[in-house]
Amino acid sequence: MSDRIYIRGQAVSCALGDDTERVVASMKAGRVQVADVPLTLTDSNYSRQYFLLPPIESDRSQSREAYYYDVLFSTIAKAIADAGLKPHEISELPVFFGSTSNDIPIYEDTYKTFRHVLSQTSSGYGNIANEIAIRFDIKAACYTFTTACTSSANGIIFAADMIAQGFIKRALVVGYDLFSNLGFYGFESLKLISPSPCKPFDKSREGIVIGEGCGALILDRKNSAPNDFYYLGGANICDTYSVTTHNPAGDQIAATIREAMARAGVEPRQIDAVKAHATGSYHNDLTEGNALNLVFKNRVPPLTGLKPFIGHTVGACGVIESILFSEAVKSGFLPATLGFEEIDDEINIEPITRPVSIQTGTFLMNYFGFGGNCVSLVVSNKG
Amino acid sequence: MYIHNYSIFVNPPVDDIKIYKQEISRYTDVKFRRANKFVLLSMVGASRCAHRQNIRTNTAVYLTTENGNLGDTETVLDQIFHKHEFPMPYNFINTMSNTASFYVAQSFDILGRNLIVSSKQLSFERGLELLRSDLAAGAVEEALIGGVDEVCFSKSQFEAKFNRPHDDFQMVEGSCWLLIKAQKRGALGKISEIQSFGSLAQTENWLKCQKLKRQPILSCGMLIDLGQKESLGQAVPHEAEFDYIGEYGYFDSATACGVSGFLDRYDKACLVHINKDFRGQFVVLVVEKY
Repeated sequence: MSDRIYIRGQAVSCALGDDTERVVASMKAGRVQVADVPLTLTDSNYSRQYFLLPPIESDRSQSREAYYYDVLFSTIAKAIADAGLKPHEISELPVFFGSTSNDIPIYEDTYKTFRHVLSQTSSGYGNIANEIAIRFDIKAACYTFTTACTSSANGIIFAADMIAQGFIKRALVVGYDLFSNLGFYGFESLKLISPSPCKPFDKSREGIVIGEGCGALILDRKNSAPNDFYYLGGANICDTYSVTTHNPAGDQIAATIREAMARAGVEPRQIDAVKAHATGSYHNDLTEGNALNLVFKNRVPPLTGLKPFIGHTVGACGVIESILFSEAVKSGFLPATLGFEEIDDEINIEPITRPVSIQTGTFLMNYFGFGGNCVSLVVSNKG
Repeated sequence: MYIHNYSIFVNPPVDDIKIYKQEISRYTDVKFRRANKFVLLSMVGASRCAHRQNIRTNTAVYLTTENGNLGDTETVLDQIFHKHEFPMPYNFINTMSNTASFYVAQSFDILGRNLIVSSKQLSFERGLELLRSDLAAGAVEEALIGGVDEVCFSKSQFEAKFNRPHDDFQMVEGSCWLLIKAQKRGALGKISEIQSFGSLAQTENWLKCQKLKRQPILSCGMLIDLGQKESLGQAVPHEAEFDYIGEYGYFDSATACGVSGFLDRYDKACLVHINKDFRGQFVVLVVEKY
């Protein structure tokens, strides 16, 4: 039995599709598929980009609720199949669910005709994880994390740590956020959504582009293949600077990265590449860039951001980006940061703009969110 | 998991959140101009628990809740769907319930792990499990952990959910917290067991094997029915029953109130608290008060 906590199985549904191999191939080729969504509910005469899940024929006849659970359950079923779990292993699989919107997408349609729907009908944050347990006949605990954009990244940390401490044998970690008007109009109200394509760290970046998606991981001491990724360590720190932005100096994000590396037993020089949170917003990129320069003393390893491919999948991004990044490396490359053209001297971060060959390595992955939440993970697939 | 302090705040539902602001102002100079009820409720309980406790910078915050913020979410959806306006930015930000755990951290100037955790009917218990793991891993040395929920039920909702008469219960808003440390020195008690089981029979078998130092006080969560309560009572001989829901009222993360209420009422005693969820998962907490 290994001390390592492996990603034994995975599946993802995102704007690039629901077949991980094809999604990774699209990333290598630099393909994206993004929709223009008009802001009709506010009678606004403009639209904003949104990375929506590809439409499938059956969607049209389904209720929003049925669609919500279809995407969720099919993604989880694929992850379970990918891990090759036996029925008794599924039965004892604790669920770690992370989301920003939770069940809001299910209830939103009803608001067109009714009010007070949520407080009258919502079954609580824990309900989606509970439904997962019922659907897959799981007889174990469910944990739901709602820490904004770090929600499912926190799920990974806690699941891995509970396995490492021997409290559980393996875990299902899910990140899921479906399109919600609350998020779309809410982020637009904050002037955070970019009118142009997302271009993290670029001098002319204008903001985020939101995406919807679902990712599911099976974490276990057992791996499926020799080059499977394993978790080395993670950290969660609260930056109390402001509820919406982190301290631009990057101190607390740097502290989070340092703690994650310390818990992983890794020095900065051992990090082969960084998957940045890289939202494309002015403040996030500035803060993250400053933090990385503090930690790596202005010699940041090759760095990329994945949001230009699939959008900012908010609470789901922890799991989804972990899958896409690790699967890209396993297939031989670091994905490029689409859209980056010109270095911003205020940040001094230059992400990779073309896929870079790599097979194995030790990597830092960053996730940040509202409420001062900072999460960093260190993962590896070195033998 | 040593308990160094606790707090209990329960209140009948209020529309005017001024009384929560007044209560918080007894403990902190921080002003919460745009905070919603859930934030203020969280702050009231956390402030009481942290008061005069010399809270360290690396303290973690685990805010457990069944429903989180509901008010601002309703407001934002109303702004979008009925007023056809963009939501007010602070309303939108407050839809994310971790603003509450953020303000708790900011008020006490603490930078440790910060979480909002939920688990249908077992939110506080699952939060304690995560904290136990963090303590074991050395990721956390001390933490504030609370159970916070607004009142959200209509009579029909409550009865549909629990199959029990609404009028038998007093509905309250609650915010009950524990200050937990890895360090024993100065503790007033400890959480000695958190055990999960897939059935009543497994729970009873485990309880029968326990050699507790003294006959415990027994308390049960909302979904334990009378028959199960009787059966569990036979499995664990007990000195008395503690009906904290009857005493303090019901809110969805009431287990936190059960533990804090026990610490408040009893000395040199042991609590066995048993709760279950709708899937029939049972969790037993054993709490000692020195």
